[in-house]
Amino acid sequence: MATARCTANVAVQALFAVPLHMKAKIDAINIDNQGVAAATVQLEDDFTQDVSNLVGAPVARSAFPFQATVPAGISFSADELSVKEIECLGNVGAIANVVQAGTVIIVEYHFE
Amino acid sequence: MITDLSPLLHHVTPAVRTDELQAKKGSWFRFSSLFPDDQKTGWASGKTFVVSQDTLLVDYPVSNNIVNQDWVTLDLTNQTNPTIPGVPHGTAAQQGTLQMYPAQPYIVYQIAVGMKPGKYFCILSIPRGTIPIYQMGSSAIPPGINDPVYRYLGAKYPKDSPVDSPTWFLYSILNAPQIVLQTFMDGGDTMAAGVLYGKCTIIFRVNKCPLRQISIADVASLATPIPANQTVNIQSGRVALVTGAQGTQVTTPQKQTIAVIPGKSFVADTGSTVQTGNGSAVITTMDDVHKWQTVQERALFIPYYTELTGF
Repeated sequence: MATARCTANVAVQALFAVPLHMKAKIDAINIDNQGVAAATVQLEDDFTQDVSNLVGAPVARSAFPFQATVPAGISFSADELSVKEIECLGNVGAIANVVQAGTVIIVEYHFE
Repeated sequence: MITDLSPLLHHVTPAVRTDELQAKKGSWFRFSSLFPDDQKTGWASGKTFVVSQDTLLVDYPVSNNIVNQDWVTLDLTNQTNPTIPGVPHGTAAQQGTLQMYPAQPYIVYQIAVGMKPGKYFCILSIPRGTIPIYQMGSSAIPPGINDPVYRYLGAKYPKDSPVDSPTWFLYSILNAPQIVLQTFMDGGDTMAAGVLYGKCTIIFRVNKCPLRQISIADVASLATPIPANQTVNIQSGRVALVTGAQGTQVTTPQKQTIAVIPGKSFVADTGSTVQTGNGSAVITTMDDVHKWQTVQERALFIPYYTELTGF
C-alpha cells in the first residue's frame, strides 16, 4: 500500500498516476482540515477513453469518485465502505473549493 | 487452430498450473489436415511436430479504457491496417493489429489469454468478421457482439482464464486466419460525466515455439534396441515388429527359423525368439505402438477453425 499527500487547492493537485495496465484501489482517504474555512474535497481521476466501437478517437475524461466536505478544525477519515469499491484508471489527484495550505489530504492506495 | 483446453481437460485437474500446459522443448504439436495443404499452411497441414528448442515467453499486456456497453476489437494478426469488409462491429474499433503471428513457418505461438479482473468479457471469432467460435450451432440464436441477448453466448470472463493462471490458449502460425477477440465492457469501474467507464486488461503470454517435424527417428526412439549376438523372447501377449541387420533371425513358436531381410520389417508372433547376428536390430512391440499412439493423442492437437465452427 502506498500513500500520497497534497493540500487543498482549487486546481487539481496530483497524487499518483495509475500504470497503464493496472487499476488503482483506494484503501483510505484522510482529510485534516486545520484551515480557517470548510473545504469540499473531491478525488479526481483523469484518464483517456480508448478508441472503441462507439468512440472513433481517444477522449479525455475526468471522474470524481469521492467527495467530502470537512468543516474547519475537523480531521476526517472516510470509512472503508466509502472507498473500497473505488477504482481509478488514470492520473489521480485532489481538487477542493478553497486554496488552503492547512487542509491536508492523504490518500492510501494500491495497484491491481 | 485450437481455442481452449477441451482436448486436454479430460486428463488435467482443476489444480493444473499454467506452466504445465505451456509447450516446452520436446512438446508435440499435431495440426489437423483441415489446414489447407497449400503454399500458406501446407508445411503444417496434417503433420506432427516437436518443439525443437527452448521456448521464449513474451508477456504482452493490452489495456483499454472503454465505456459501459461498448467494445474494442483485438486483432492478433500482423496486418497493421485491417480493412476487412463486412466486419459486424463497424470500423471504428479497428486500431491496428497486435502482431502475434510468427513471421516464418515452423514456428507456433502458443498464446495464453490472461484476463485481469474487471467487468468485461471476451468473444472469439476466427477469422475476422465471422460469427463467434463458441456458439450453439443454431441459426435461431446466432451469437454476435451486436446482439444484446446472444452476445453472452460463449463469452469468456476473467474468471475463466485469470491472469495468474490462464487456461485459455490460442495458437497462431504463419498465414493462419485472423484470430479476433472482442472485449465488451459490461459494467464499469468509475463514472465520468454520468457515464460508466472501465478498464479491461488482458495479458497475453506468447510462448514462441520453434518446431521440427516428427521423423522416423523419433518413432524409432520408442523401439527397443537389441545388440548384436543377443536373443530376445517375445513375451506372452506381445506381437513385435522386427527390423534388423543382416543375420537377424526370428524363430517362430512352430520352431521355424526365418531370416529378417535388412531394411524390411517382420512381424513376430507371441512366443517367437529374435536372435541377432553380428549386427543389431530393433523390435517395436504392440506396447510401443500403444505408447506411440498415446503420445500422438497427447500431442496438442490444433484443429482448423472450421472444425470448431462446424459442429
